[in-house]
Amino acid sequence: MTEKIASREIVIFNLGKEKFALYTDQVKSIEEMQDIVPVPLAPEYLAGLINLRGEITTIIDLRRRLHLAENSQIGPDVVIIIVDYNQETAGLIVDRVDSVETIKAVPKDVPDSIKKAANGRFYDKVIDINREKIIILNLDKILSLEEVK
Amino acid sequence: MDTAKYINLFVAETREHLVSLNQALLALEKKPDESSQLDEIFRSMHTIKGMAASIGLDFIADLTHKGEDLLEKMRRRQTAAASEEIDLIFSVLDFLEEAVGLVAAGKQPDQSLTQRCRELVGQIVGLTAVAPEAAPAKVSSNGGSDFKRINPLKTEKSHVFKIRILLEQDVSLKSARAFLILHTLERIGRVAYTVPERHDLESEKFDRGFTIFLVTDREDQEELRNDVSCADVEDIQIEEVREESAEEALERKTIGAFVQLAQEKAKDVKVSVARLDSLMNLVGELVVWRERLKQLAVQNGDPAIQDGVDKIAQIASDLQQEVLTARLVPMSEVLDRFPRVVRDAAKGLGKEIDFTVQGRELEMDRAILQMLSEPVIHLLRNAVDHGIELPHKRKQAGKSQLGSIALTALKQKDQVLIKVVDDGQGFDLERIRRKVIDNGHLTAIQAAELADQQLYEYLLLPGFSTADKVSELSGRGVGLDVVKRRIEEMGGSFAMESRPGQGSVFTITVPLSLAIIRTLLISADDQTYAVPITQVKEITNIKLKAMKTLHGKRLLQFRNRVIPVVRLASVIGLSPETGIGEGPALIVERQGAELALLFDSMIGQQEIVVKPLSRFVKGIKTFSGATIGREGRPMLILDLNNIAV
Repeated sequence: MTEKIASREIVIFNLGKEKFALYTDQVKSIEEMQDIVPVPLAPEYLAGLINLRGEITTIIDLRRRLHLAENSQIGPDVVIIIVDYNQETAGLIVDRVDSVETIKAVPKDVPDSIKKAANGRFYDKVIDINREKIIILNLDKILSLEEVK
Repeated sequence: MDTAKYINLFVAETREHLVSLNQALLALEKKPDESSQLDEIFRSMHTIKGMAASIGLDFIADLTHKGEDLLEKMRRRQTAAASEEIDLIFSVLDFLEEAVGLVAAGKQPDQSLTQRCRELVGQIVGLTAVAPEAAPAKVSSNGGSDFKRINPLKTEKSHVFKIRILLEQDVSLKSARAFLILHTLERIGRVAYTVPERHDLESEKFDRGFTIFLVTDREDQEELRNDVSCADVEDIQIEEVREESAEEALERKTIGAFVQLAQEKAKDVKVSVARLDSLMNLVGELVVWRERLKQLAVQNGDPAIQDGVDKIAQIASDLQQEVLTARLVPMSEVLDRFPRVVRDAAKGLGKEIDFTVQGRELEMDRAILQMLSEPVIHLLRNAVDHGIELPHKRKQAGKSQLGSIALTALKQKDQVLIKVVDDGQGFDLERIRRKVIDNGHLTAIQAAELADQQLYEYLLLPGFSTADKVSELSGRGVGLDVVKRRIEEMGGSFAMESRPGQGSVFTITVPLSLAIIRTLLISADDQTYAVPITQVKEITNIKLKAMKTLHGKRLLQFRNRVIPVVRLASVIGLSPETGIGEGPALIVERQGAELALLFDSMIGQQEIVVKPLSRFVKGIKTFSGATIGREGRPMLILDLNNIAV
């Protein structure tokens, strides 16, 4: 079992100076940044809705969701990562897609110090890629609704 | 008496006949020596004539009468139909289509229409007059000639009934009444002949009574009586005629044969689309209130109430399902018009095309089907115009001279997949690339790096067309971008594929049924929202002088009532409440009290397809759903019953 997980592929992307990753099998496609229709009264991290080939898709500002930098400025490389979750599609805004890597080692648990931070629950595992620490995100938690009221 | 009923009947029936006429004529064009199609065409033409005459549309009756002459001549000659004859009949059908549209809209035929009618009659006379063997100037229209050509085909189950009808005294439009009865009977069986003759019935040459000989495999006379009896009929006598005597009687009338039976259509009822739509709207509202009621029941906590609400909710769901099913119509209603479209387009361009349609029997929501028609026609014209090459070019390329376009519809779960496949030249990738560069979308280097599939995406940009000049057919500034947008507005998707030299495939995916509501589109703080019309009591323009402030709340003096005023933008949290408050406003009623909601501007009205909001935004009760708006952007649907003030 662990063998199998260890040989999965991940998509690495930037949020500010930090690097995060999602497993490729969670990612449906990567789309260019586009006109997002805001949803009034929605939580701050909910950027709005887009028309993705006829499907109305909810877009989440991942920086805000992870309580990272305050100013989520839209840079030239900003893209939307479309993820599939429980048969529902959503998009995550990230600053830049870095690369796709095959992970060979078994990802480690996130250190307790980080896990206890406000955004700790969004972090799943940590892995070293090219001597850099990359956090694999917990998609389940990111898309969970406990805060949406 | 209400003649509108007969006009509606005429319009509906004639449209049906025009569809089958077009089909039969197309089949005849493919195999000009198959006379069975001619019989079919003749029958439909004859029915239209009868209906037109009975409601006093003389010009249509005249034209179709001449049409019968031409068809009769073609039948007698027993040689292949000439293409000029077929073209002329096509023109007649087009004319009829237009005339029926006019009648349906309640308009009188104008000068140019009657003039064109005369021209068509003239053309037919021209064709029928030069017949080598003098065709009879007048074709008997008693229906006898119909039956002469049908082979005797009698089943053991057939019964022959003599039905005598006596109309009430002083019935107006006797001919229409007689026609209606004949029409009903023709759905049950075959009308062998009538006394007086049908022609005389149609031109009102009878007093009050007439007799119909009907061949049917129905047995029950009472059932028959029920079907025939209607208002204005005083008496009906039905007796069964023994087979021999029936045959004798028919022989006497030189009607060689009859029979061919009984579609069990009598069990169906025609319901107008408007009525279905209003039913659908009511059910739609019922479903909205069901949700509300469910919430209330949960809050209330009384198990008996919850139980009752659950039952009602279940019934509402079943009802919704039934209504949705009732709205389903076979795709053939739309697909059957397409062969004609392709034929005309191909003919105009000198192309030879074999067009096939699959999936006619598939059923889908009437509204979607209607909305699909235009984009599909566009794709077909596109395939004829840009896809299929001219015969000599195809030959050069080593292909069959006959191009092929296939339209297929198939069901996948709760979606319908429609494909238009052609074996033409495919997209000209170089040309698209050049255009992408010329239009400044990309640099030459970027364009060269682009994969083919990505290149196609540019074809979907508004105004992007590779055609050097606007073509007669598919041009007119309408491009694939419009097709894509229409499909997306319906909640569907659009994709395309192409292989140079081998052809293209266009795929449309749409839902089988829709939840459609009528909405007002309004804007507030630069965003457009849809508001269900049923939630709006009134729209008014608020002037400052009509308002006053009381305890910091703004109130509007409106028709002897005083209503609180708020800005929509601030209610939905877009911007803080400000002092100013002039402009358009919606008067809504919520929780039993009226409220005026100021907004920025009114954009219009639109029927929209409601898509549920994703889990992530469902918690926000202010919005009941979303839709794809006019520019292809998502648009939120406001739920005024649930806004928090």
